[in-house]
Amino acid sequence: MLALSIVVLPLVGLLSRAPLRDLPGLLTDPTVTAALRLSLITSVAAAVLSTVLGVPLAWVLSRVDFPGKRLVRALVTLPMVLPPVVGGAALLFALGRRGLVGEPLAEATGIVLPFSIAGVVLANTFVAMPFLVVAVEGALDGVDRRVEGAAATLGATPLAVFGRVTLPLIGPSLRAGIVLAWARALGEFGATITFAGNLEGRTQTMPLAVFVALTEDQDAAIAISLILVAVSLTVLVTLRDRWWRRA
Amino acid sequence: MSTRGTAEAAHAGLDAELGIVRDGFELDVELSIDPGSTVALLGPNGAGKSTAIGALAGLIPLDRGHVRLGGRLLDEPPTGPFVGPEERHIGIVFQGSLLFEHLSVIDNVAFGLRHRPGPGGRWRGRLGRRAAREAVRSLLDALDLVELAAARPGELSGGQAQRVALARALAGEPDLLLLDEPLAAVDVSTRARLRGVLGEHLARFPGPRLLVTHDPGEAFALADRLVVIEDGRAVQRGTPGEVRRHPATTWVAALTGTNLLAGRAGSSRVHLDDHDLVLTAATELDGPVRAVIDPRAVALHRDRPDGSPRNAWATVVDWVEPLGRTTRVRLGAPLPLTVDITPSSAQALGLGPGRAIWAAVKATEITVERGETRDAVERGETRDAVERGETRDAVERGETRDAVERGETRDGGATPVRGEDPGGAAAG
Repeated sequence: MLALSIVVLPLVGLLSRAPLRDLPGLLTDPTVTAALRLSLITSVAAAVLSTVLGVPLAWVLSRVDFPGKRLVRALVTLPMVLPPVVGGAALLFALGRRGLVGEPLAEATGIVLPFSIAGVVLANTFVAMPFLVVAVEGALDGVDRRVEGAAATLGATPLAVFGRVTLPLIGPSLRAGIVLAWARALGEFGATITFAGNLEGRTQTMPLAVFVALTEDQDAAIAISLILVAVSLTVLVTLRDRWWRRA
Repeated sequence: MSTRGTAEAAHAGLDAELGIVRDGFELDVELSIDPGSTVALLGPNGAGKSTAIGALAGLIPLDRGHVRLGGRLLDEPPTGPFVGPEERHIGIVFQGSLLFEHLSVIDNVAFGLRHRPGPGGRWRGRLGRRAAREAVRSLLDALDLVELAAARPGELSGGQAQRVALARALAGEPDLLLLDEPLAAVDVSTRARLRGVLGEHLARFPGPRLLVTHDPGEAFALADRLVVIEDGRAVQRGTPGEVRRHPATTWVAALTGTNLLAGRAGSSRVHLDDHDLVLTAATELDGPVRAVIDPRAVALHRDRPDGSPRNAWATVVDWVEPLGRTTRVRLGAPLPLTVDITPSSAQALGLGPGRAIWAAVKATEITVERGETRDAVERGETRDAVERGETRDAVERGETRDAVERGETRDGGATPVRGEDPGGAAAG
């Protein structure tokens, strides 16, 4: 009961201050819609990127023995513990215009990551991917390797074994990992503002918009927060019913 | 040896010499199986059976030796080829079924067909889902699985799951059929029926068949020949009858119910090592001997028996186990023996643990052979060590046998599903 109230009470507080009459106007404000669109695009992109990069990484961590594996595993989960601001700063030093990799990258291709949408996605992925890797790696560890062996003896190549047997078996955990990564990306603030800045319409995501609005227009801040709550809640409720319960 | 032409047999059958060294364990077993014949690889848990399966399947590369199947060389280190599991065409019924939980029964069975390279190479011309399902219909019918075609493995009983596993292994028309403890996860009530189904389909399978098991009942019922392995080595080869009559090691003897005793003979008297009893046999020998007593040759009496038996002693019942048509009784000190009697006599004698009883064996029923038990000899121990170590070894293995029969395992990992609910085991 206490646990529930800790979760629910702030939401009630938010709702109690909701400027219901001005809500339509606030929500259609161009700043808000731009931030909402950007947040949805970048968080989904970050979840996709985390999946594409994170699943192979999780597979290697689960199935391949190599020296320094413990260190790599610790490094992968580091962003989960690190304050996101530190992550953003680190990204800046590595991929910034003057960064370790960023400078040669900009010179060679003209691509500049910081203060761009790509930068937002990158910052989100940095923070979100560990959640996916941890979820998938744990699931891979739980798969009976003998079942994969059985598939191999039936003629399935290693890639087919992974696609037709391993992936379906870890399906529920993979989906959970994707949702966790997406949720983390949606709420990402520190790394994004540090690495990608707070450019309205370009890199200002919903959480940044809330932060800015809090100092200028509290009603707008509440409205944007409500959208975040509504979107998150809708996705979670739908996914829980569709995916997790069936699995 | 088969009467088949050996050249043809070597070409179409399995010819393997499995040499693997792993974590201090060494496997060194030769296997040769003609097409149309069934060999059982029989051994206790930890003997190397799982390693042998992995080596044949291509899941564990050989360190030395070779695997040749149907004229194809599959593995021959260090210079020969190594063919991966997906290219070996070996149908395996795994211990605990190992069905794909996310696929229906029919898709489990059709899995191999869908992944078999098509006529146009590995990817082109492969069977689609519908064609593969269509192709396995008759097999489902033959194994009485048509009604379960849409079911998930989690909904199946242990026996049903093993029938699906058999269908899955047979669907690709493999060059070798390999059964790994096929009855271990099946509850006793369906075991006999499943054994019949297995026997029927083994007989119908044209290629070489290998049954891997720790259960001599399974091996005797299904195999033409046995290869007994212990500690990674073949300790005995022969037909089921030969192995039963002349068990080479105490483990085989204990498992088949045969009593194998080590002792030293002086004329017709056999002084048993470590047992405070002297047996009288019909054979006259001197020196170290092995005495074999058929469990059916031991008579049990309420009181001291009259008449001819030269060997009669008072003892106590250790445990009683009903085995269907016979009842198996284990006697305690002074001579631990396995005895098979009819259930009606067991009832008439009121047998139960702790019951005081008289045991009797005719001198002519004791087979005495010169030599030590072979497991001691093969380890290259000295004569003295054999005399001291052999019986201790027998006692240890006798205990192991008890554990095996009760469904427990020594290493725990090899048959984890045995003690569980069969349905639950299938569900994983």
